[in-house]
Amino acid sequence: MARLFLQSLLVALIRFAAAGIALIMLIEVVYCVIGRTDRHVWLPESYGPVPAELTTRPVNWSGLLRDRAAASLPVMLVSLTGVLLIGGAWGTLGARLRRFRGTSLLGAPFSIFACVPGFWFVILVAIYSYFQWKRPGFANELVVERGPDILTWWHISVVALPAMAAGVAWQIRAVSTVLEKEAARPYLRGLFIAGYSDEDIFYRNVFRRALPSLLALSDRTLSCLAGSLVCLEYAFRYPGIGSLLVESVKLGSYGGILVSALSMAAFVSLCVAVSECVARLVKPEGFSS
Amino acid sequence: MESEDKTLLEVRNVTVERPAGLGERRIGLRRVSMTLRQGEILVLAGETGSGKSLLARLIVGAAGPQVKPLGGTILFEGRDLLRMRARDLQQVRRSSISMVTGDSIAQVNPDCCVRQWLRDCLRLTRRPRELASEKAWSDYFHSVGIVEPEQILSKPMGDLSSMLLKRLLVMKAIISRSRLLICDDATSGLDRIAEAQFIELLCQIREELGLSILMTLGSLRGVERFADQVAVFYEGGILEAGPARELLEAPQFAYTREFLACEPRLSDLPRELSTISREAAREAEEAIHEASSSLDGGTV
Amino acid sequence: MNRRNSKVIHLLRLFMARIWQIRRVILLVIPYLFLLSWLFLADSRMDVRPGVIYEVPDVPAWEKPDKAHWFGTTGNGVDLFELSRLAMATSVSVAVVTTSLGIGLALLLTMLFVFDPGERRFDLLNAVSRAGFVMPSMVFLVILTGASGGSLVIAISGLILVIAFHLCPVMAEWFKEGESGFDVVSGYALGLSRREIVINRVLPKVLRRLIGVFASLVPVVVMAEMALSFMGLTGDRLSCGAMIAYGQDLIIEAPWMSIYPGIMASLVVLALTLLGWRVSAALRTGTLPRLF
Repeated sequence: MARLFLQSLLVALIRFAAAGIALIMLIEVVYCVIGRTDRHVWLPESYGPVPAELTTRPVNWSGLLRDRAAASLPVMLVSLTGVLLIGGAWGTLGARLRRFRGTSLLGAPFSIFACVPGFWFVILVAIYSYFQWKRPGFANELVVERGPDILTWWHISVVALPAMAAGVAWQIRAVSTVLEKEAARPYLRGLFIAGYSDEDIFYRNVFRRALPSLLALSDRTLSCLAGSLVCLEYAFRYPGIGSLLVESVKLGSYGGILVSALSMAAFVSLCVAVSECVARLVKPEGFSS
Repeated sequence: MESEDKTLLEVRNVTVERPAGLGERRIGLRRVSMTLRQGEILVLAGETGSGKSLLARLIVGAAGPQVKPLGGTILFEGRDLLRMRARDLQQVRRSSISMVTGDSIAQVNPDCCVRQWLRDCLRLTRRPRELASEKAWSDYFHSVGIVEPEQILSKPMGDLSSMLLKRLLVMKAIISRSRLLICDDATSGLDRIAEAQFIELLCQIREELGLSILMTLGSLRGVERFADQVAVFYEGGILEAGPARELLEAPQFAYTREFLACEPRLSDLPRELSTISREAAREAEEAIHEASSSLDGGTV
Repeated sequence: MNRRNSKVIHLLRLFMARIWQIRRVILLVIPYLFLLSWLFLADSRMDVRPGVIYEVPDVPAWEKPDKAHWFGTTGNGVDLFELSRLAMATSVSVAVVTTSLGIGLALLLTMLFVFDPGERRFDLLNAVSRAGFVMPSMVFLVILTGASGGSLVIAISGLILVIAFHLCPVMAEWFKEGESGFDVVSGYALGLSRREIVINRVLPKVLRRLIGVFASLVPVVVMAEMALSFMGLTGDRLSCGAMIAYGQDLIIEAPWMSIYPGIMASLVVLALTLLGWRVSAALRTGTLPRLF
C-alpha cells in the first residue's frame, strides 16, 4: 500500500510540475508577448513584496498564502463533501430507481439552481443580509465583524453553496450514467435468473464494479470546484485563494498569480492522487489512463 | 401411463406476445403445451427464433417486461409461475429451478472470484452453515468433474473456460437442490468433445440425483442418446412431440425429417448442404396455425 | 391491378416519414429558434458600453420597476429590460461562436490521431487531458483574459481552447466506440483502407453526436462568459455579468439594477440548459464532462 501511495504521489508531482511549467509559460505569453511588457516571469525583479492591495496587514508571500488558504480550505471541504455525499447518494438512488420515470427529476432542484449564476446568488444574499439583518452582506474583513464562529461558518457555507449546487447537479447525472451503464451489462440477467435480489444485484455487483469509474469522476469535480471558487470568492469579497488570483491578475502581480494558481493545482493534485490510490485499492489492476 | 404425481413442470396452452422491432408485436408462443416429469430429459429443438428459448426464459421469469403472456399456465410443482408474485418467483429461482445458458460468462459477475461466487450461492440457498468450510465443497466439485478445485477458487469467473463455467453452474444447481435444470442452448460454443462431456454430466446427475432437465437445442443430432422426450418447435408452436426414438425414427412431418437431415455428414460431401424445403415449411406452418386455433394444441 | 404511385407522391411520403421520425428534434428546435430570435430582436441602437450606461449622474434618473419599465431603468434612464435582453443576446452570440469553434478544434485535434491504427493512438491526448485537470479551466481563463486587458478575441480564444481540451478525450472515446461496430469489421473484410473506414463509417457516427454537444455546451459557455465579465476581465463590453457587477455597488439604492439582469440571465440559461439536455438525450450524446 505504501508503494501504491508513493507511485500516486510521484504521478501527482509530475502533473503538478507540468501544470507549473504551463502556468509560467502562460504568464510569460500573456503578459510579455500579448501585453508587451518587459517584466519577464523568470526575472527576480518582476516579483517583489506582497502588494498592499492584496493584504490588510504586513505579511510575506507565505504568510499571505497561509491566511488565504485558511479561508479557502473550509469552503473547499464543505463544498466537496456536499458534492460527493449528496451528488453520490442522489445519483446512486437515481440509478437504483431507474425503472421509474420520475427519477430523472431527482436532480432537478440542483440542476435548476446550477443555472443561477453564482455571483448573482451573492447579490441576493447580500441584499437579504442587509435588509433583513441590517448589516452589509459581503464577507470581507472591512464590513463583517469577526464575531461568533457561527457567522464565519455561515459565510463559508454561503460561499460554498453555489459551487456545491453546480457540482451536485453534474455529479448526480454523471453517477447515474455510470451506474446505469453498468446496470445494462448482460451478466446481470444471469444473476437475476440465479435468484439474486435487486439489492444484491445493484449494491454487491453493479455498484462494486462501477466504483473505480465513480472515483475517477471526482478528479473533474475537484478541478471544477476549485475553479468555481475563483469567481464566487471574488463575488462574495471573501478573502480566499480564488479572490487572490483575480486580484493578482488585475494588479499584474506575478507572485500572487503563481501562489494562488499553484496552491490550487497542488490541492487538486494531492486529492486526485488520493482518489487514484483508493481506486487502485478497490480495483488493483492499474491506473485509469 | 405415468401418474400425474410425478409431473414436475406442466405448460398448458401458453400463448405469449413479444416485441418485433419498429413498434410491432408478434406472437412468440402459440398455445404451447408440454409436460416434464421428474427425472426426465426433455429436449426442445428448432430453428433460431422458433420460440424454444423464449419458453425457457418464461419458465424462470426472465423473459423481460415486454413479453406479455396472453393465456395459459406454467405449473411447476402445482404452482402457476406466470401468476406468481415476484418475491415467490425469486425464491423458486434460488432453490428449485436453475439455468445454464450458452453464454455462461453472461451468467456470472466476471470480476467475482469462484470462492466468493460459491459463498453467494450458499447464502442465496440459505446453506451457509452447512457448507461453511471449503473442504465440504470438494464432493460437489468432484460430482461435476472438477478435479483440482483449489486451483480455481481464487480465480475470477471471467478467466475460466466456458466448459468450466458450465460445470460450476451445474454444481450450483446441485448445491441449491434444484429440481429442474434448464439448459438453454448450453452446448453452443463448445467443441464436440466438450459437448459430449457436458451431456454426459447432465445424464449422470439425472441418474444420481433425479434432476429433471429441459434442454433447448438447435439441432436434433444425437438427441436419441440422452433425451427421453423431444419437442420440435416451429414458429412459436410445437409441431410434433413424443419419445425421442419414436419421433426421430418416424417423424410425422416432412419438416422434422428435413430438419434432422440438415446436419452435414462426412459421407455426404461433396454436394450442396440440405435446407428445409418450401413445401415442408408450408406444411409445418399450416399445422401450427391449425393447432393454435384448435382447443388441444401440440402436446407432449 | 397494381398501381404505381407517382414519383412525386413517393418522395413526398418519404419526406413526411422522415419529418415524423425526427418530430421530437423539430419540437425542440422551434423553442430554441423562438428564444434566440426574441433575444436578438433587442434594440441594438443603445450605447452598449456598461461604463457609460451605469454611470450615476449627480441626480440619478433611475426608476423602479413598473408597468412601463418592467425591470426599471438605470441612472441614465435606460430601460433595463431591453438592456438585459441585448446583454443576453451578446453573451449567447459569443457562446455560439465559441462553442462551434471549440467543437471544430476538438474534432481537428482528435482527427490527427484517428488514422493511426495502433491501440494506444489516443494515449497522448488522454495523458495531456489528465495532467490538465490539475489546473482548473477558470484559472487559465482568468489569467488569459485578465492579463490581456479584456480583449474579446483573447477571451473567445481561451474558451475555445478550454472546450477543445475537454472534448478531445470524449471524442477519442467516441471514435473508439465507433470502431467496434460490425460495419467497421465488414469494411475491413471488404478490403477498405483505414482512411475510408474512418471517414465513411466512423466519422458520421461521431458527427451525429456533435449537435447534442453543441446544445449542451452553449449554456455552459454563456455562464462562463458571464462569470468573466462579472469579474471585469472582458473589458467594457455589455454582458449580464458586467451589469450585475456594476449593480453590486448600488444594491442598497437601486437593488433592481442587479436583481433583474440576474433573473433574465438565469431564465435564459435555464431554458438553454433544458433544451440542450433534451436535444442531447434525443441524439443520445451521453453525459459530457464538466468544463468549469
